[in-house]
Amino acid sequence: MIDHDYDLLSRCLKKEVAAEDQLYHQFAPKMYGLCLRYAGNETEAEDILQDGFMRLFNHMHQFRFEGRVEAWIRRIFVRTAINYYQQNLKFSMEVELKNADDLPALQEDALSALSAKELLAIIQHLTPAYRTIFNMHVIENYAITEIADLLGISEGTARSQFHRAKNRVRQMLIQRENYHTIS
Amino acid sequence: MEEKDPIENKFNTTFSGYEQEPPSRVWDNISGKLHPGVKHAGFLARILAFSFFRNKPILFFLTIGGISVSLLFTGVYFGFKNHPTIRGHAYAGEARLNRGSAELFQVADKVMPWDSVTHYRSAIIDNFGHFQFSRVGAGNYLLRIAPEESSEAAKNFLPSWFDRYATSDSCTRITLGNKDVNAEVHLVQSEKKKN
Repeated sequence: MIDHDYDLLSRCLKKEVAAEDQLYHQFAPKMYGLCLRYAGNETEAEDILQDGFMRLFNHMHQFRFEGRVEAWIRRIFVRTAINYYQQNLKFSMEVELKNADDLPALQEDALSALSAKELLAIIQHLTPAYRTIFNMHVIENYAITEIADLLGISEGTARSQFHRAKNRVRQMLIQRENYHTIS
Repeated sequence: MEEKDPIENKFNTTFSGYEQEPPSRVWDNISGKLHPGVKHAGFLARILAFSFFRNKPILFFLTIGGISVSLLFTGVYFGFKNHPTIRGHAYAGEARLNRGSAELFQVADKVMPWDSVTHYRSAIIDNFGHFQFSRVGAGNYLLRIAPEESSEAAKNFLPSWFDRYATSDSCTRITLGNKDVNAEVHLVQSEKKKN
């Protein structure tokens, strides 16, 4: 698979139209899935997807042909998403109204029953800053230090912002659970 | 390794490998930016590029065939549309001229005297006195009908200009645009016949 991806990238570097087409269609569904998580809605996700692929095609010569192509492409898209919301990534220093410990416990059955679509809707309801940090740490598995470095914030801020983001997610999950229990 | 809490675990497992097909317009936009020329080359050109590079020979040749047929019909349509026909009948008295020729001359001048008359084309008059000049370019023309020298009509009628004149100086000019023209020509009687 790696050899196939390397070959595909080499052909793209030679400006082969068919290779560009193939590369896009091979990675677009995965990257669109990623963009949907970082975006507030589908329109923004399409914008990020388009920007990401333009960045990929324009910076392809920087790939060193080491490691997995998909991981490299994924990093490009995460950076594109960060850039897209750079203006809106305001990291709130407000104290959360409710501490995580004060929130009622979440039933694991209810959590496991949630579909990807429902979870996506919850992520998209977060502010861009919370959404970015939550995605990077929980799904992309970036370390807090790495996130701080990429977002240009201190490690302490990154850590506290992540916990606030997770609390917000928990709040929404509980609200959703209560709503379904009542109805 | 630090164990993730249930929420993190749920999100992580759900979205690891999560895929969704993006709308096709995204790739249209990207490929349009990567290859601006191709974007403006039109739908058929993109199908051609797609079928050629995706190794789909049947689609490729079908598209080539489609383009060829379209071009042929377009060419034929516009060819005929922009090149109308001058047709009509020649009469010798009350009867139709059955042997003779029709000569078409192009005139560049807009007003008389016409100094720039050039022979444009000839046509045979059939047994029913009919003649036709197909695919004639737009412009001004003079039409001359001449009975065949050995024919009966030649003894009594002069070669004549549209629509019934013995000389080109006084004849009627045919102005051809993008519509066909019907020109009925009556040969002028010779003096011998009149006498």
